[in-house]
Amino acid sequence: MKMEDKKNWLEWLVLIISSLLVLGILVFLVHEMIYTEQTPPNITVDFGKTELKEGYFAVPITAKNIGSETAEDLQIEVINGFGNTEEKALLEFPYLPGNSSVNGWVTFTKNPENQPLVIHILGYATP
Amino acid sequence: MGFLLLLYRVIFSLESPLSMANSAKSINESLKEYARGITGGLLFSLPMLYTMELWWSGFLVSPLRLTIYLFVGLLLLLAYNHYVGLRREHTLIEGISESMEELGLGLLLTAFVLWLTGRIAPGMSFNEVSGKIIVEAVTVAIGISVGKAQLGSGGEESENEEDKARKKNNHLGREINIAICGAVLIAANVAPTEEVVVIALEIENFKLFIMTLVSMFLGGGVLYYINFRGTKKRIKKPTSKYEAIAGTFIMYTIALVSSAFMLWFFGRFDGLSLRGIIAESVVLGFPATLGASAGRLLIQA
Repeated sequence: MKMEDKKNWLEWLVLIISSLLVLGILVFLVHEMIYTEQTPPNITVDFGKTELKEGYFAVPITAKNIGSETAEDLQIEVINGFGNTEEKALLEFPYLPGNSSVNGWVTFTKNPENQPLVIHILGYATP
Repeated sequence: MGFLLLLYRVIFSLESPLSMANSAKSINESLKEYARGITGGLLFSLPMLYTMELWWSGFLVSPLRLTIYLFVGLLLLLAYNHYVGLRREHTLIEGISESMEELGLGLLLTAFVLWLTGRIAPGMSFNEVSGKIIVEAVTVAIGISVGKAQLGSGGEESENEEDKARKKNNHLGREINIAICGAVLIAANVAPTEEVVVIALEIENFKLFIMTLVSMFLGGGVLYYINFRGTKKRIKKPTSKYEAIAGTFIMYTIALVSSAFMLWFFGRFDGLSLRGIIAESVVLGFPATLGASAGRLLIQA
């Protein structure tokens, strides 16, 4: 004889939410497998508004990976000015996953508002 | 007022006016069972939730591997619920719904802990967030299943019925399935870490050989010689030395295969030589052996 275990409303609720969650994730993964093309990392960098701190200027930076694969050990160099007045700042991120962004700050002793900042993506590994 | 009282009684099923109260659990009981499950899930997998390599593997692992991992997790849950979790005869649908429930709870619990520890934040893509959650949720779900089945105090009285149900099951199939669950539960905490790779690539061959021997002696000892808790009831008494040796080999094979699967899933085999693959499997096989022997007995105590 089989003993059916009847569920109370809480157990039904948990079961329904759980099933929807699990099935939803499976559908998402299958969709990803079929329709999303794997593209190598593609890094773009945006600046925010420069802030004057005590004795230096800080520039907020947002690095975005518009490719779908992850960039590992990403190094970004930002150059302020040129010639004798040139200043370089280096920013490192251990990981920048595909279609995601990371934030950071670079700082200079001279005001970067006076000249355009130059971005140099030094490199990254593809894990 | 009367209506409110009735509503209160239905919600907390103190004494439900409907006949469903005959076999349905009260809300209180269900809540306690879920709480036991959540405790089990955290007990077994909090080290994983606090490990950086796991957060990273969430966005490094491809959707195909994630799907395979999720399916394997669901199969392990089904097996565990079939042989241990549901302490009575049950239909396939009941087994599936129990497993779905545990996997769903595992996903929710993982999402909550990752949010709490700041591992899920704005700016992350849906891929990254879902990957992180799925990678950790499978072990959390097995922990939840073990917690629901083992951490309660009311299990003793149903022992007889469980034993009857157990006898009908194929002994070897049951043992293999529960051993895989034990191996995954214990070794998944270590599998994604860099340490496995470092040990495997630096270890000398003779030490690797000693590690294999230690794993087999330890696992075999737990199963057949040191009177570990539950062996009398759960492990078929070997009729000869050879049967004990065969049992030890089967257990170690399960530990190695489970280790290899986890390492492959976490991308530890990518671009690696055959020597490296074997070394990593043996290194992870050590904790997996403990899971497949001692762990196996504890999760069905």
